[in-house]
Amino acid sequence: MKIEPESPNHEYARERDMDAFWKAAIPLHEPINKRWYIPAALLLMVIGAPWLWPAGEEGPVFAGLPVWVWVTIGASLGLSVLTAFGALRLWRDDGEEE
Amino acid sequence: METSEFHLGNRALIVMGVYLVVMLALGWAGRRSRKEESLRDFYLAGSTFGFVVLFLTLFATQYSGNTLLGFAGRSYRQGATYIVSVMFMTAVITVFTIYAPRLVRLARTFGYITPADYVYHRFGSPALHIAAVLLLVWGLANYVLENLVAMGHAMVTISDGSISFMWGVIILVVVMLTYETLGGMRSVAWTDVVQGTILLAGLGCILFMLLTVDGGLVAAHEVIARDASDKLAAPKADGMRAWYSNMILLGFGVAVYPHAMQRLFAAKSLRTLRVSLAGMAFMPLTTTLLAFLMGYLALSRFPELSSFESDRVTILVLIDMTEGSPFTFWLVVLIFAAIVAAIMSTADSALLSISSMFTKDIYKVYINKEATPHHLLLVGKIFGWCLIAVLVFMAWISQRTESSIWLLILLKLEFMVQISPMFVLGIHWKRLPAWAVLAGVIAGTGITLTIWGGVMAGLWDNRSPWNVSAGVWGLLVNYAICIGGGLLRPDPIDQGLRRT
Repeated sequence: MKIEPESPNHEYARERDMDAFWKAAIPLHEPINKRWYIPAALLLMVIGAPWLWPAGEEGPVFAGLPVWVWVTIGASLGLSVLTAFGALRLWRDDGEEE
Repeated sequence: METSEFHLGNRALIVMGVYLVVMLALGWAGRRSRKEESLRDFYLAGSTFGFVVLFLTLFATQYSGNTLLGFAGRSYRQGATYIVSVMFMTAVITVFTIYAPRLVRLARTFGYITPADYVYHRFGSPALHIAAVLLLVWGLANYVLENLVAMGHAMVTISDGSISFMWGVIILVVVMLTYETLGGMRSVAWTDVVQGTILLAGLGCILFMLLTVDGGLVAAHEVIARDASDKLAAPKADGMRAWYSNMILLGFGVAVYPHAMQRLFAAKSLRTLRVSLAGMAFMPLTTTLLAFLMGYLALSRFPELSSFESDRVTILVLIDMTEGSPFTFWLVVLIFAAIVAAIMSTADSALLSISSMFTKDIYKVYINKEATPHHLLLVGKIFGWCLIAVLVFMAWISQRTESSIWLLILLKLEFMVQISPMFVLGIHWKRLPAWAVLAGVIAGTGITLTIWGGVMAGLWDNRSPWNVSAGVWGLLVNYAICIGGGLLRPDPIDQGLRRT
């Protein structure tokens, strides 16, 4: 996709062709096209929140941190993997893969 | 102790001097490499960033002095529950993957320079355009201010007090503005490459020290479990509400930082951008997690710090670790350089973004429509210097009050997050009308202001009713108005353009 030369300010005021806007907005593939993408991210955030652990208690400890903290770190890692997968594999556009 | 600190200051100052000279040299190199005198070349480096520059400039911009100082302080005050910081910083990149594919495509097609270009193009409302610019500039100015304060603290510590807080701020600001004025985004991003590399090296040192010095985390846990066991407990119901409030506020707020969006616009190709964002998704585990662990470790070493002092726990822990261990000395110097690099790389990006919005979205549109690119660039640079003068003055004022760095972040994000529906919702939902977005922004900021104002006026004493931040209450109403406004609107524009 070619980048237009610097546009004069508020050319959009005169040329708000919204059909062209929406046509230009939609890429070939984007992560939210997959219906599971946002639910999967939300699920990882729910797993990472320590609501299942006994409130007000430390619980078991591993390597100097409470285990519930390790679970949050693990869920964050899962979210990182999902997000990286979204960016690398679920986001595609025409004419960009030079 | 005094001897150790004295030696740290002297040698660290030499390292700092070399670092600042390198920054100025990169500023000059950025000027020499400019392609043309245009806003796109100055504010987006002509959209030429490859993977290394883009990734490191995103990284150095996203992680500021506040991450290393403010987040560590917050971990110290709040305890283990601040592990939420790792998750919300990851969620920021997830939110990017939701709206960036469309925003980047639009930016490349229509030549956007600032995020407000999109707002005007999408909604066609001058009122909404101005509201978005004001909220973004408000947030970014606070962001710069917070980093100026962090600059002062860092320089006082590095010089062991031989450079005062204000002189520390002024020295770093002059260097920063000089390289920024010389080469704009190109200079800023090239300095980010050095700053990001120093930051990564510094973080590696922090990890090494955290795990090895004085028994590492296991030893720290024993002390915390004995003296402050409440800081290790899983949160109760009110803590869980604060957890989700943080996830929403930071997850959406940081994802609409305009200087981060402009880096998306500056990518050379989509592939470069996608790989950089994929890398960024893992950076909370290397950066935010270490800041959290630094605060955690400080709990075992400095149990009685005030809220104000706790924003310096990273520095206190590092100085404490160097005692009696000559090997760690240079590691600590590197980490201090990393902290200064993190602060400067964020402040310069935010300042450049403010300057671009003032020039492109305010001056050119509402003050001087016929201005030439040369004139606009000059206005942008002069505005940057004037703004920073005001902010340095405010940093000086801030030293006279006991306000912690975290308070400044909240003031920034709680307002800035109110623009997120324009991007997250507006870019996907054609029915979302400008009036609903504007009403949502007014309601969201109004609710936030009312809750904060009530505390300041002494009407109530809680900025986070039911342990949910004022800005999140505002944002919930904001989204509700947007969704309601969109549903009320007839659906003619959807016809014929549904995604296939």
